Amino acid sequence: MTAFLNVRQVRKKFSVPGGDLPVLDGVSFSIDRRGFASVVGPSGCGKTTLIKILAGILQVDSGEVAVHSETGSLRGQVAYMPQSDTLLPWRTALANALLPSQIDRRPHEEARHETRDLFARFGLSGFEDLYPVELSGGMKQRLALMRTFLSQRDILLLDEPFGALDALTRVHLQDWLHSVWQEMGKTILLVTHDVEEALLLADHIILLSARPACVRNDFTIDITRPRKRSDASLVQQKEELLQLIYAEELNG
Amino acid sequence: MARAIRRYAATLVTLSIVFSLWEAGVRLFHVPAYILPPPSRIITVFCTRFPLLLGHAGATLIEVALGMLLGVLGGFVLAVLIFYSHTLERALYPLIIASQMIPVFAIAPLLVIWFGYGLWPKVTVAGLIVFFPIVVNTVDGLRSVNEETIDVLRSLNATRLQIFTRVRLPASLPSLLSGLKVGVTLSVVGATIGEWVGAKSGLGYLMIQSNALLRIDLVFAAILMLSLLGLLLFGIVRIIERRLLHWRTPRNQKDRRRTT
Repeated sequence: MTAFLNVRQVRKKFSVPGGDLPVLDGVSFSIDRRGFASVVGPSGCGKTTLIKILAGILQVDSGEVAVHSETGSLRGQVAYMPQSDTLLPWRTALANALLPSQIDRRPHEEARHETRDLFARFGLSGFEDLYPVELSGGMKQRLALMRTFLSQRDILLLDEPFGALDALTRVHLQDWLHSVWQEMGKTILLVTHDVEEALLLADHIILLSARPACVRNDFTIDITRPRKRSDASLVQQKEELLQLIYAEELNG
Repeated sequence: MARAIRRYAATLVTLSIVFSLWEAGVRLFHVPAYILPPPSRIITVFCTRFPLLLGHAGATLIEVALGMLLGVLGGFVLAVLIFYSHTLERALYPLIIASQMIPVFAIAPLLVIWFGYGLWPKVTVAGLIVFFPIVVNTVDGLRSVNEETIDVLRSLNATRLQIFTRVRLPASLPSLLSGLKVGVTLSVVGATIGEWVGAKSGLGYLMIQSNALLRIDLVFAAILMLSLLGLLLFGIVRIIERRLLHWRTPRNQKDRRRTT
């Protein structure tokens, strides 16, 4: 397989009172088409900055990001799901899911049909006409993920999609994301602080150093899918990864 | 209807007590009607002179409606300009806030000199009063959007216009409407003051005329009519608000909300 998303020597600093704050210090990695990569690292290391650069919201100071071999901004080529709740509260579940197609000015009826069909797959059938305030936390995250999948972009950038959920719902949604990803053939970059989540889902895990971040390690995870949380090899790798992150946190 | 009565029962009881005491007091101490007429007389005058009151209420209503329309439109457009342009924000926002230190009522006589005795001075006063809460609240509303929601749209390559119509505008509605609720009652007061200064019709005009003739019962009847007009307009804004913002309350909780 060929590299689909390429990140090369990306540097980024922010101006803060009293000087510059370097956040990314030459980050490089790549993801294969239909691959699933996970970015982990000590808290505050710049994971969200990285994902915002890939989403085309922040500009790099130097280095480049490229899809296929097209360099430049990825804006319009990726679907980004931020950490906070970004559903529009005045829109029903269906209308929220239709937002990307409206931005792309796709024919309404066609998009509507497609979207309605997907509600069952996302475990939301029967909830099409409810407003976000009427949905549970897990349902809202599924709806936000559905909106991200429906944007018809090949690359999905997910920033801690399950961070705010209770443990049980999170486990459920992780398994579910895995099956949806296998079915729909998307390329996914998942930022998470949950090492187990990364090990369950990703082909490879990109470990960032403490700020300013660079790629400390890029592990290929070859545990056979579907993976179990109790898998001996997974449990062992989880321990090792946690050790590495702690070590990074102490360095930082 | 039964529900409405239950909901406002306490208010109705309070009103009955106040009016009973008033009625009893006036009769007991033989207060002359040109000082303070009893409520019964006010109600009688309100009923017998209803066509007259209705005509003047219509005139006031037109002034308020036009003033609100202009104030809301102007305030909204200015809020959007202030939100999108830092230059305009710095040039105008402090002045708009400072202008609130000038009582609009104080410039009402000037407006009569500039615009005459017709419709426009009252429309201007009513409009100016609505204008301020609309500007301030709409600017706040436009700013209230979660930046990450905007990020989602930007990553999809949405245009600025799409971000405005799909996200910012609907997000600003709740605060715009609370500005409107404040503005609507004040603008009735504004139009009335405009009529006091100089007018040929309207409830304010009727009050001034009746006052001069010591027809205090008619003054009170006009005040009653004015309150009803304010209530009507407030009710209309409430209905618009419920229609536009129904998504804020989960449907299975709507019955609980009625207690407020």
